[in-house]
Amino acid sequence: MLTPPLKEEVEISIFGPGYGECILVHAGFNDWIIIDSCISPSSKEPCAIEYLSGIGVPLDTGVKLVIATHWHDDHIRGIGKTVNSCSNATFVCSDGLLTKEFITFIKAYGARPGLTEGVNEFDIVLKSLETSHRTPKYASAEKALWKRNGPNGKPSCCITALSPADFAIHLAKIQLKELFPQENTTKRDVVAPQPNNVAVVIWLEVGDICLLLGSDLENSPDKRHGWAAIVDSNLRPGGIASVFKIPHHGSKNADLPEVWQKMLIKNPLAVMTPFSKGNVSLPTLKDINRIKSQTSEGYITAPPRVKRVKKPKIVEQFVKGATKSIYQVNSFFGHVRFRADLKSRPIDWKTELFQSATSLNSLKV
Amino acid sequence: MQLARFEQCDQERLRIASDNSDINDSEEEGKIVPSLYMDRKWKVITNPNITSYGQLTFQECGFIAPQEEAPVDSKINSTYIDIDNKSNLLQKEIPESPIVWYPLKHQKTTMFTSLKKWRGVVLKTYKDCFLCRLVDQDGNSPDEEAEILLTEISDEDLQLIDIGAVFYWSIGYQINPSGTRTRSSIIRFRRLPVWRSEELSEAQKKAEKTLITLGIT
Repeated sequence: MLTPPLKEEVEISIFGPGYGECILVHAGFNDWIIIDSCISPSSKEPCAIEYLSGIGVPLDTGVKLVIATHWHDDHIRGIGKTVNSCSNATFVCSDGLLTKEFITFIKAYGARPGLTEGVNEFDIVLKSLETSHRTPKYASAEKALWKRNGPNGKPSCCITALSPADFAIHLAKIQLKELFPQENTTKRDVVAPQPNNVAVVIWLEVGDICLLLGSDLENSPDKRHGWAAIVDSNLRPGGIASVFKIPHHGSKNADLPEVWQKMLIKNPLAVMTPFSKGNVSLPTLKDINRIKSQTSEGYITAPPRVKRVKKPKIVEQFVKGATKSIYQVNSFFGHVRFRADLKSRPIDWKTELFQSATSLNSLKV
Repeated sequence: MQLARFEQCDQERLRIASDNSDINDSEEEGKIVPSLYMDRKWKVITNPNITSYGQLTFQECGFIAPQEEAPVDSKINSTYIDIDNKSNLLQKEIPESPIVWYPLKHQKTTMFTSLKKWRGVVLKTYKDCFLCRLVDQDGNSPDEEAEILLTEISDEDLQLIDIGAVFYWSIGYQINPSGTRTRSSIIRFRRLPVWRSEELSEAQKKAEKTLITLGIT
């Protein structure tokens, strides 16, 4: 497992959930991109740090970008430490988040450690950027985030944000403004508002290999934002992707058939992480079947539903009496890895599954 | 000078209840030691063994006397807390009380042996229950999400249920002063303080500094 990719190999590694997800991309020639963060259940370290350190990648020079696609707990755990460790990486987050209102909100809640981790993580990120005098980059639709030109036989690489759309940023700013506490209101934990207007979808091109990393972006009835806005955009980069990180854990409200038809090759490599909230577990059986109808190369980092760990009898009796329902948050952890030679054509992807990761075809639901 | 009183919530928590309506009740978690309070607006100048408090509440005077310490009358002054003077938190000497204090008989406290304890955060509220995330305080089990029935919540805590509200759920045995053991499930919501204008101004100042440092316009 702990073998680094070759210099001329592209790699996409998806980790999760433990609680959350993290994507690592090797764009060839020792240039690494980290997208979101989750914690490895075994080492309690951010899994990107654990993996890169394990394969001998120098964090200070190897990691070019650390992207936080949004600030929900399940996408940001450990990102503070990641930004700290990758001392020369540019930090990217949604344009909707780099506002005075949101930063004031972070500063107010960040002074109260122990509360919502998304807020605390973001506070650590801001402090790390301040200390190291790094300016973060805003991500918004059709904006290039990083580029490597391709002299000396190196394939070029370009990373472009496909969201949030301008209208979504506008909505996000209104939404986040409302989060800021008012004087004399009770202090509480922060629960991230819905819908998620700030999610950053990434389009990554290395040579002629394209990847579409869907974050948690959902569909919207308003075509000014959501997946419809991306599909309809004539400013987004051309090309079709051969790898798709399925958005929002495979949920129906994040699936737009036109994405499969217009932005992806037929039968692409598709991968997702599971998610659970109360009695909702994603992906559902219907979601899995729908995705399987689009590709036979679907993978998931862990099974979507887990059995609760039973507690002592007396505890279980009280729990049963006091609750309508109780579910365990998905604690399985897995890693899906795709690697391909940047030069060989046709592209020959090698898929490897670690820990709880499995293919959708072999998933017993 | 304002006085605050302590009430023991369970084995590990202490509620600081104020008789001053301007100051909200507060509830703290974990092992209570005086140093924990030194950074806060409350100063506890008393014996570190918090479990020795809770039963003997002299509410009319706003303090709780230690139980298994020296005679109460010699300790009275040390249990007063100055909550007026939030900045330097100095204990003030209280003049001799005109009240005659009688020696107290030794009383046993109600003990609670916890088998499981979660910290919960309310995620969504419904008519008859609320959805919450439960984090095991021992760190042994994965997080869980549960819909807890409102019938499990005490009347005084019902009004505290809102999105983001924090509570503790302990399941275990309660051992009464008589020695009787009863199974018990206790859900208590934290009485969190309110946002003060100074805190919000401070956050705004910090944010402005960050925006300048990071070059965000």
